[in-house]
Amino acid sequence: MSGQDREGLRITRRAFLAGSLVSLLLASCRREAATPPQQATPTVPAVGTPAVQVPLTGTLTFWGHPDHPLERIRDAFLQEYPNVTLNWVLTNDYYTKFQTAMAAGGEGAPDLFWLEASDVQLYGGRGLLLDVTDLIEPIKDQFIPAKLAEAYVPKASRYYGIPGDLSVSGIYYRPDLLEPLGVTIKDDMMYEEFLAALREIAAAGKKAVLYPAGGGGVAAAYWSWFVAQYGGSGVATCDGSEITVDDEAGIAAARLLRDIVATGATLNADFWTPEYWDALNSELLVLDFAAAWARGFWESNLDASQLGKWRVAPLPRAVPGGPRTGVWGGATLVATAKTQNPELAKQFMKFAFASEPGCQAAADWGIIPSWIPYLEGFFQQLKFKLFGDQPAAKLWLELGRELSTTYCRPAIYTPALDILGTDLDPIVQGRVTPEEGMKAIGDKLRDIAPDYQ
Amino acid sequence: MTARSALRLRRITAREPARSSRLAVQRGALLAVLLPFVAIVTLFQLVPFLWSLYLSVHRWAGVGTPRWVGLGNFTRIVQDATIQAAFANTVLFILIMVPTLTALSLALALLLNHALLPLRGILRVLVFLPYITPAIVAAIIFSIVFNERFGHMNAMLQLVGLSPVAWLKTQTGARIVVALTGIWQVLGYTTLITLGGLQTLPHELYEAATIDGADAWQRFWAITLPLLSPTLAVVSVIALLFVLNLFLPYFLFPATNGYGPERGTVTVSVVQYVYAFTNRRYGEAAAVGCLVGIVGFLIALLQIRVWRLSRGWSI
Amino acid sequence: MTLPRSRTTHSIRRSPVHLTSAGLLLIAVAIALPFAFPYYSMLVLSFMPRSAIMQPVLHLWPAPWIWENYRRIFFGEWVLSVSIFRAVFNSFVLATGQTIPMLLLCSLLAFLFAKWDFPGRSILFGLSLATMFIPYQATLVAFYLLVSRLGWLDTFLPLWIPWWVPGFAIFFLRQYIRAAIPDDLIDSGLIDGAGLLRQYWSVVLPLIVPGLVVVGVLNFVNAWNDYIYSNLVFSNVRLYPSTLYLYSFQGSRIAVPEYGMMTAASILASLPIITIFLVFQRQIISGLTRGAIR
Repeated sequence: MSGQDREGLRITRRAFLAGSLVSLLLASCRREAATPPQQATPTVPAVGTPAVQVPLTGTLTFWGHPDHPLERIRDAFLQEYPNVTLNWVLTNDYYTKFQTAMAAGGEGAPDLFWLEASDVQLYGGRGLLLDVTDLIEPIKDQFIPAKLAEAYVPKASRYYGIPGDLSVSGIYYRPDLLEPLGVTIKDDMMYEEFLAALREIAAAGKKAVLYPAGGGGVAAAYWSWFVAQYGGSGVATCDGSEITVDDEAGIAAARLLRDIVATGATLNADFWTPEYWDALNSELLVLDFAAAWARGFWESNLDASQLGKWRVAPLPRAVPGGPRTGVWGGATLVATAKTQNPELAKQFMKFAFASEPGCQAAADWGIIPSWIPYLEGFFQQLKFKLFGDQPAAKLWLELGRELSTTYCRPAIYTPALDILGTDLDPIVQGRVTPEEGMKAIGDKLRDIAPDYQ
Repeated sequence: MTARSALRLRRITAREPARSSRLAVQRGALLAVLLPFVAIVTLFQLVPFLWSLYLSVHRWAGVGTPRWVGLGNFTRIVQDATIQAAFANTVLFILIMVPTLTALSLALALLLNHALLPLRGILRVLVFLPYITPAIVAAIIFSIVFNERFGHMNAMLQLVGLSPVAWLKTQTGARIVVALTGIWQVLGYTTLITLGGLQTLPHELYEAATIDGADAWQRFWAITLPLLSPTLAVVSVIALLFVLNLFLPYFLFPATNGYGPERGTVTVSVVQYVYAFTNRRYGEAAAVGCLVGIVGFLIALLQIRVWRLSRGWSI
Repeated sequence: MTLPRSRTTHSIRRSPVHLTSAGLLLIAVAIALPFAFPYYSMLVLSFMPRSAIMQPVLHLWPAPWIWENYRRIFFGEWVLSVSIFRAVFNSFVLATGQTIPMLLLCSLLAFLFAKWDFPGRSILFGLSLATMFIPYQATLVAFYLLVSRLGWLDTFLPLWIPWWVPGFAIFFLRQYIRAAIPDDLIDSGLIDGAGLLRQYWSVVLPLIVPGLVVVGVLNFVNAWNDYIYSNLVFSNVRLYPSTLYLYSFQGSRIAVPEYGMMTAASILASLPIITIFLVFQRQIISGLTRGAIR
């Protein structure tokens, strides 16, 4: 099945190239690509055959941080298309660099970029990003719906990227250490039960879940999960026109965050700091919220003796029947409008996150592409050192399908994160009520909302 | 010797403005020098500056056309809790760091100038080293040194029987770490400037004072401090500029974008960067920049005025 | 604090020595420690693997001791696949191309501002002083736009030309010239019929060398440490200066930095500056003064 997909895709890709040379042919190829791969396979060779002769050439640039997942995908792509030049610029502050280029109207920007969900909404539909609707439309059913929505810009009704990382989250925990405390983490439980478990953990002198002093990005991330779990749309409606941060779901999410910290179980540390890893290695931190992609970081920073002892569970439910997960991070691969090689850029995007070799290369790094054929296929065979013999892949896929589709990250989510990062803390510390606190945040956001329309 | 007589001469000629107006012939040469200057300043300083002035009265998320809001950004930033904290922290850091840096530079310079001090050359290099160490490396080193559980600082405290301190997790602790790291970074530079100033002080005055029976302490107050005050004025302006541009917290507290525990370490420099490049609030960031620029300029003028009035020194 | 004050320097030869050498040595060590210790920590980390650095113990000595970090940055065995030496060379090109023309232009301007009167003199001088207070963050986008429109991206030009007339250098050198060059010297030159540039070249320049060394070294250090502008300008890894190179060990903001390679690169990148400092130490310290005080 997956092998067939790959074959079909390769031919389609070459067809694409031919299309870029001959516009008439291009149109026919696109129509061909518009059908789902299973049905396309028998017909594609006919169109694709002449294209096979033409090697894929051209140059693409990409800006990202060193040790980026797209480095692996680049290598895989070059193996298949050695005549293409992929110029990967790796620099620590790539995001500042990119934003500056975008602010300068796209001047000097790279062909490809790994863009945060809220920035797809900010830049999309303004002539800065390449419209890839023709690439996505035919294969849109192959993606996890919640992630697909992040590549879609409602106000323009177009797609401006291909969904990247699945970015579902769950609970990483140590059953061997929790059992003696009488705590079990169930795959299906409500937050009330989870809070009781946290109290047990705190009483035993252990730690669960991070909450660094002041809250910061961690508080904002947790709140974002919870609000999605309560069925809210996040800080604003999907088109960003209406602020919803202080609606019922938003207030409930803030209250839940407060209650979690109030259990006394949280660890006052930031993510990925030496003491964070130490808290894990010394078996002080026995449970934590984490994204699926975090697994790679854990495996490279935990002592060998700690691997295999961890298990993953869904987040508890906030409301009966609600989703047991939320997104954390998870960028979208986009091309910029000024790219000289729009067709090649689309080819690469499709290879990266809608083909077996691309997805496997991405998974090598630790992220999980949200392309269902991969998630159902190769991904299910993966074993993770961290989780021992637990079939974690099955759970991640299940959670991916559960991801809320009402939750959104519109352009205003970016400044909202900063405000949430500082203004949730007074609520958590009990200095203001969740209602008052969220109302104040809502007023701030309503004030700046017109700037992000 | 020659330097000193030149100084005296200059003071005299300064009162004769007529002497310096004799340039009529050399228009060509003048233009050849001034043109590149004016071109570079205009293109790379004035135009970007005007651009930031323009932004400060507009709202802009980094895409599309900026939207005119008049003084809206300024009224917004005075109400913004993070920006308020940034200004308050910066004032706090100025109050702590500028006098500390000036005093420590003087003390260190006096020591490093001491003829009998062993290893003077090595010490001077050592003191200057932090100035050439990139901020991010300094931040990493200091966050290890001040780590609550395995940092060197707490190890030392425990050695003398004190209990460990959560340096990086409390507001006060975080501020102390930022101030110490900043002082560590720039002290070598300000010390060198002070050291240079010390070495121009006339020997004869000290000799005369010694003959008159003044002890070292009296000589310090009567000769060193007054004569060194112009240098110290420059040092304090440099220290002020350093604090106004203090960006260290961004590297010390990456998880909170440099805001630190309870926004205890956010500075005007950090908030400008984060508001522009993380939050896409270019207008407000530019407004903060304009305020900082104006206030900084005024403080520097004031500093120089004060020294000038008290020391009869002309710029 | 009272110790340093009790001793001013110029009278040492004449006054009785109050402090024993042992006491002074103690003071020397006391000064050295807070400065040297963080640097020592850097050295220690540069010889350790990341996994060991992450261990929550006091690192007073590299354990285990490895050369891996240095080897990898020497040979570019890191995602950038460029050797640290290349980056240091680029820093050198960057800093030299910024500093040398800057010295010529600024000293000429300083000479004008110090000794000559011409229309617009005080306005231009005030302008150059005011540029010191322009907050750079707000101007980055405009800077980038200009540089990209000029076609200067991925060249050294944007890190050279805009920095040739810094306010501080003009101010400092103007003060220096006012202090170091008597008006008589200019006047006698005028009688001899020497023009502005001739005077600058044969009278002024030789007399202000210590001042030039100071401004030069300080500017060189600043150029060497530039990160923000280099990050915007350079996309070609082979042009990366040492700062971009060593910041790349930070990885993504959520990843754990490669502390070992980062500190190793930082130490190697600071060696040329330390050398320059050692060579020019005397001039820097004596030159820092005259400009600064008058």
